[in-house]
Amino acid sequence: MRMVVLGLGLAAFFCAGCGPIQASSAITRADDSLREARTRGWDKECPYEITAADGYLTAARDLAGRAEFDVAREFADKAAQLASSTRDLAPRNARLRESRGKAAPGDPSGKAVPPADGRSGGTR
Amino acid sequence: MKQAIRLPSPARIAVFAAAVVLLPSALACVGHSQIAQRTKALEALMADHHDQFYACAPKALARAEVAIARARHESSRGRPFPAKAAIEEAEAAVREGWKGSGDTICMPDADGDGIPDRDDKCPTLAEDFDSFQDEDGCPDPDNDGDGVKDGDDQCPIAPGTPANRGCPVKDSDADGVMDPDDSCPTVPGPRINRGCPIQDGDKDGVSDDVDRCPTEAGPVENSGCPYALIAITEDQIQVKQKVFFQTGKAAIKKESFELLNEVAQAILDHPKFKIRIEGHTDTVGKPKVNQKLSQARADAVRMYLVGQGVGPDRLQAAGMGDEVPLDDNSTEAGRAVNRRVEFHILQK
Repeated sequence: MRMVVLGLGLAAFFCAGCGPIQASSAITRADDSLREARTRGWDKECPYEITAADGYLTAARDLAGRAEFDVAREFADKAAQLASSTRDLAPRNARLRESRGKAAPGDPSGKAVPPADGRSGGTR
Repeated sequence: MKQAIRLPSPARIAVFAAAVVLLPSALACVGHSQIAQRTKALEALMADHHDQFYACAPKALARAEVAIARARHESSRGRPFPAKAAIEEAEAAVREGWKGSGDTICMPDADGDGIPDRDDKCPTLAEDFDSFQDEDGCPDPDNDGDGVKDGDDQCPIAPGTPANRGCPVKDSDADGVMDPDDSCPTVPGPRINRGCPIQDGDKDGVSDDVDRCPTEAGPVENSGCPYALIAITEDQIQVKQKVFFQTGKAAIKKESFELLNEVAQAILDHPKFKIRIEGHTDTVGKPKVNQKLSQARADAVRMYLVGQGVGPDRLQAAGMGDEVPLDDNSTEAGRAVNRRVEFHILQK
């Protein structure tokens, strides 16, 4: 009987700890991705992705602080995904920006280009 | 003077208490509904102008999207005030984005071909707008891919050959000889005759290329040449001349060789023919002698034909003597008719 109570107690303890750990881990992951993107200068080529990742990460931290770990993790994952996507997008946007400068001098330059699927991340 | 304090009735207390309890719930409900409507409207606007925002006001777009996500979350947790604050933040970001992206030129178009980069499969190569796959944004210097550049291609959307200026080589008469090589492009004909039909000048059913006598009608069996001295009927090879023998003998005269050569040719032309050669005499002389002579002459003709290549098994020789006259034996003319050789067809 004592063992059963101990087992239940341990299970309750670990389950209660799952949410915070996962949320915290997701936030750390997103933070790392975002930092890496900024360090490599990808924020200049992918302003949408970086700003959105930053926004989701801030929201994730806020929610984690209010013990809403599920949504915090969801937002953190989204932030990490957006930050990571700049790895592929940034070189492409840089190439396009350069070619715009040569091919179409009259064209406004310095604008980002949506990903190939034509959709960014976010709430859509 | 003392005024009496009027206490509220229990019913009034109940109404007041209900109002105090229910009003916030009712207000929250109205708030949720409004937030949902505003969220929907914002999302619709952003969906319609997403690419514009993305290109021209990416940070505002990002802020708006994050704020909407927060508003949705707060609303779902039943917190109307933070939700309202978030949606107002989203609306402000959209307004800011709208200012930055009102100009549609803002859509990036690296090659300046009027097709925005997001729809342009070749964002650095300008579309040539030659009415061939113009929507993909890629130039098509050789639409039909036949190796002839569109500028030099007289048939730019039909694969052809360089020799034919990019136009497809046709075979108008479908005879397997392409028009450039076909001397008769509208009339089918074999390659061997440069695509022209082989003529049959004498209309004898034997085309000129195999007709030994292309200007004279003749049977197929004789390679299109007519038999000059004979005619093949249902049951006989009829000779138009007589077969001449030396008087009272079975030796064939030279003058009849041409005739017999043609008879031999006719038999050879008809490989299934089996022929009975009949010798006939007039009534001059004894019948027994006449019969012997007619047999000897039929044999002589048979041997001659064998000598011309006709298989001996296809030929029979029969001496009929004077028994089958055709004419009157009392006149010289009649007797001349009765002295004869006939070629009867036994089998075709």
